Amino acid sequence: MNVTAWRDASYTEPGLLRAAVLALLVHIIFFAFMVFGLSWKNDPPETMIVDLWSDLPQPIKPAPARGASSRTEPVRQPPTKAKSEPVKETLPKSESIKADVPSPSQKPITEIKEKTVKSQPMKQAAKQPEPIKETPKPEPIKADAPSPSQKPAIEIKEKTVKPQPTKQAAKQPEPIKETPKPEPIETDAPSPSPKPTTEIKEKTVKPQPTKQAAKQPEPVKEIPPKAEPIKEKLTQSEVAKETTKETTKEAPKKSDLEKEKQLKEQQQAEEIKRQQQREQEAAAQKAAAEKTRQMDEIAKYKAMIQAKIRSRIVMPPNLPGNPIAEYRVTLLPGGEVLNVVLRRTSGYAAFDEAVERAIFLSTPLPIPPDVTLFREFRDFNLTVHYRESL
Amino acid sequence: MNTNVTQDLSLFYLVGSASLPVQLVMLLLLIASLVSWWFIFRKMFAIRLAIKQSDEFENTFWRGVDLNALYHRAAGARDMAGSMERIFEAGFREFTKHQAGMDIGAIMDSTRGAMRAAYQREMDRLESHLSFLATVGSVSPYVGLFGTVWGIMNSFRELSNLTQATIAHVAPGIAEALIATAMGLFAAIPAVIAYNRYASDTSQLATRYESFMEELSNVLQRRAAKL
Repeated sequence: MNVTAWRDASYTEPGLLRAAVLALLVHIIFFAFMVFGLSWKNDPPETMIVDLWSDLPQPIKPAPARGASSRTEPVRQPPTKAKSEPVKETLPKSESIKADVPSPSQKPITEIKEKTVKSQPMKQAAKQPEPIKETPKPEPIKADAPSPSQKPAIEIKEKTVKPQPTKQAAKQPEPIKETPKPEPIETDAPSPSPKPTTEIKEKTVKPQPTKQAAKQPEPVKEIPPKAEPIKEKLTQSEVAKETTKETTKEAPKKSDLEKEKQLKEQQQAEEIKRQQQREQEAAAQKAAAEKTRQMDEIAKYKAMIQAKIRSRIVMPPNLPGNPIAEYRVTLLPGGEVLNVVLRRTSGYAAFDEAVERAIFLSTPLPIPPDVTLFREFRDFNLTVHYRESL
Repeated sequence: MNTNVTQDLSLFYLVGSASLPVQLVMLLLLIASLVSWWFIFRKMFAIRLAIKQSDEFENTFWRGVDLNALYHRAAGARDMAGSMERIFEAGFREFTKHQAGMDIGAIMDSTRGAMRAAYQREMDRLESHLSFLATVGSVSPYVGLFGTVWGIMNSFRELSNLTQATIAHVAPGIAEALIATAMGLFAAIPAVIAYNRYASDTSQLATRYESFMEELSNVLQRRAAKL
């Protein structure tokens, strides 16, 4: 009795609850440390956005921007010029002779006047206009580009105002223009027929075609046939105005004019044809050259493949003659051998097997890096001779 | 297990998304850790108290207090008594039972027997739960490792279903698996430290009790010889 009580007492332990609380506390602290102390947040790496541009925008953009600005400015300018030019053209009758060498923008008009008024200045003008327009004022040329459609209308109105009687006179001056022109044309540029038209344009204050002519000879040739009538009309109209003052100068020959015109057109047409032919020939030559180059390339790689495979063939000894084994080899892009099929046996199984082993051993085969050429190697025949020299 | 990479990898998310065996292992380890810490604190208090009471009792004993008075005090306040006091009480009670004309050798034998029994009981009480700490300290790392291996096995098995295997696919699985190891270590390290510390403390106490028993038996033998 006494002993049991004593035993019970011995098992009463101090601070059981306190120990439990402390143990919990320790764990809470530990988990708090785990949760807040360590940064468990896994910041997802910021996704990279890659824009694929077909061409580089920044280096190119500025240039077009300038071009656009230079173009846009003209676009703004044209109305004023288009207005100003017609004004000059409508008024020129009084001014034309006086205002011979004014500001550069007026030059073309004044030149026309000069040409129409005097036959000698015509030659000068014919020679001068090109350098003048190309070098000093590219802006007016561009600026004028949109205007031509406007001009004709105005000029046509003028035409209507000043009708046919002037027309005859208007056609007269042209021969004057055309006759002097051929000389400058020949001296200035190799293509004779297209240029006159451009020069006429210059004289008629349509410098755009001249620019093209100066930079790209081909388009000019294509353009003239369409542009010509307008130019001629313009020339006629302008000349008409001027000729109203100088009707007394020259006696016209209508038939000659027309003949020359026709001749001119024929020449131009022929020239265009010739040009086209030349281009076609050039293209054909290029294509042929490309083909031969490709063929060379293919032949080169075929030889390389042959060499590689041959280097790996363990030739069975002492075969009579020069047996030929032909295989159809299918390649994967990259030159790996996908499949090998025996097409024509050499008659000696040992040799066939040796070749097949060699083909598989020599993977990857050398293939051209050009994808278009690889098509040739996708599936090709391979013939292997037993003796190399034969 | 979730292979979504951009998820929030908080501790709770990782534990919650673990597979069942890993979660069980974690739960086991958490309980083991809690219990082992509870025992650690209990033992800490108990051993500290035992040392303190032993110190006090030895002080009063060697100061030359009357043994009868000491015995009555110890028997009166048994709940408050320390281990050494109880050993003294057991021995003295046995000594007083055989007074009238008995053989000294027989008296001392029975007294020593009583004291040794009390000592054994006290030591048993002091050393209780230390074995649990030892077990937690030695086994819980392995248990945690088991959970980790299981979790990594699972995460790699799920990796086999993916065509593109990136570290991001395995990372959450391994992280959550490693939590098991972390918990095992967290339970084991304090348990091992506490075990070693308490083992040495109890062995010190044991030597103190044994030496006290020898001294007390000597005192009682002298006293019996006087009678």
